[in-house]
Amino acid sequence: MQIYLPIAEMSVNMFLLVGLGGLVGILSGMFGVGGGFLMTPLLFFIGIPPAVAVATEANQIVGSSLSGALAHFKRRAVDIKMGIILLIGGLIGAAYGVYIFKLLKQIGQVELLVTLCYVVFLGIIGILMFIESLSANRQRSTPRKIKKHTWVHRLPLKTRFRASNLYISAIPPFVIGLVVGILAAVMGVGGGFIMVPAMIYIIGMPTKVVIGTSLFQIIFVTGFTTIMHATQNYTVDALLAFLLLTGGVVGAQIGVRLGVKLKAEELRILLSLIVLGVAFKLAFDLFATPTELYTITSGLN
Amino acid sequence: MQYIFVILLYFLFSSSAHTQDSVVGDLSEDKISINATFHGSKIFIFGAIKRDRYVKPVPSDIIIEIIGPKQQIELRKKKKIFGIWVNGQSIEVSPIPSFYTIFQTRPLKEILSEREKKRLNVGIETIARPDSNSSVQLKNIQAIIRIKNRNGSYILQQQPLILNHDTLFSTEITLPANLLEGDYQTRIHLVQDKIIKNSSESKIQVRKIGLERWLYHFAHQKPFFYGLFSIFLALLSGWVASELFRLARR
Repeated sequence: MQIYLPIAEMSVNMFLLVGLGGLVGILSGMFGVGGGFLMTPLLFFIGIPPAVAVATEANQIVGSSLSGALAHFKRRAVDIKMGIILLIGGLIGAAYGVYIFKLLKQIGQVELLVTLCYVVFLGIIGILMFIESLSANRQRSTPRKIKKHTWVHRLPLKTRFRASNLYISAIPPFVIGLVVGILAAVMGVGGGFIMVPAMIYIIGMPTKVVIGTSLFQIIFVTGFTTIMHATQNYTVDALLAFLLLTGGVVGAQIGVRLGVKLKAEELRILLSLIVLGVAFKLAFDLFATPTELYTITSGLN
Repeated sequence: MQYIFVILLYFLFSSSAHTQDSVVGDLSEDKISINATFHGSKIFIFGAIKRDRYVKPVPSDIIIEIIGPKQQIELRKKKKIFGIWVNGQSIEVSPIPSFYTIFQTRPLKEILSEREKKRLNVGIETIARPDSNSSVQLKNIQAIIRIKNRNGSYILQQQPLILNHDTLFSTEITLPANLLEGDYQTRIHLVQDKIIKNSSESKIQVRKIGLERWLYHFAHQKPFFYGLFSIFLALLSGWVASELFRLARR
């Protein structure tokens, strides 16, 4: 059944959207990732204008992150203080990101930058994941020193983070939040795939609060990004986000259940292959001679 | 005396200069409402040639055009930079119709002269390029027409229009889903001897209604509150869905 999306200004099959949301939801439930970095390119592939895809995806992530964030919050697995600093960096980053986005729209290069960012990030992450999952398969042990003092510990503005049991500078979380905020605004992702490793390896947070804190930050930053995109670029399609969400939440539940049944290493190899596949397709589209050299955009998009 | 005879003969045989033929037409719908399940709307267009009674019927052709409201578009041509295809600078184009389709009994170039086309602005290439002669502009316009033809905004390949008994014509048009709101001009032209003898015009009103219209106007007129609304909707649906699952699991 076709449904007309008022902001994207196109008719799409409703079941395709719910299914797409469900598919990415399953992957996110299986691997514990947000899914924004897969959903946004998939929206490109089905013909949604990139500006609308990025802004709407930010909207969707607000909803899909809520249940996870609440679950972690109830279990007190959120370092609120850390989350707030990440958040402040994130809001500033997102504001800047939306501003860059608006400039790009004016010169007609949104698609190029977003695609380039995706190729670079998905490529790097896909390769890292692939390497990591292969080494995990060979069962090499990785001894992790919890209280190791690195350059990070020499930074000023130290403060106590009780939930993480850390006394560390406030600068790293702020900068991490800033970077993630820019990415969220420009690429339509939550940023968890950067925040979580950064929180573990750079800040040294214990794993039990990492995911909850990351989700806490994501909800606020993507919410802010949604409002910014809506007011600056008029590109948030609430109907599209809603349809993707209905599939996404169901998919996430299914995915969590499936993920328990499959082996962790196999899952990670599979995910890294999917990520690399999407990166290659996007890169290929950049280099391949297009069938039509001209593009037209209406004044609205 | 012979001169009068020759002059009379001349007037008898050059009947086309004297026909009072006109064309009348109508539409099955003159209001289209785009809503949630809109995926295209069929309109039936029909009409007849009112023939001048006292003259032998002249071979006639009919052209029907539906022209959507003008929109300002940006045209860009891709160019290769370091191996990557990148959008070039925006090329200036004057506003062109957002939608266009044409029905004709015979191809335009067979039945109309270029001058006649320009006189009454018939044919999308004439409408889209009101004045200039430059070949670069021509290529740009052709690109725009090509792209819009491919995405369904311009429907240029229709079945030939049939003139029944040299008088009646009718056809059906399926309007696509991605229409702009506004007034769509419907023009029916009567062509005889490469000249447009008469035209009939009417209007189709296209409006977005219902949920789509409300969302669209909400997003453009009160964007901040629309943003809040979108977030709230996302949070609500996320929460409701997870609660449903929790209950279902019990």
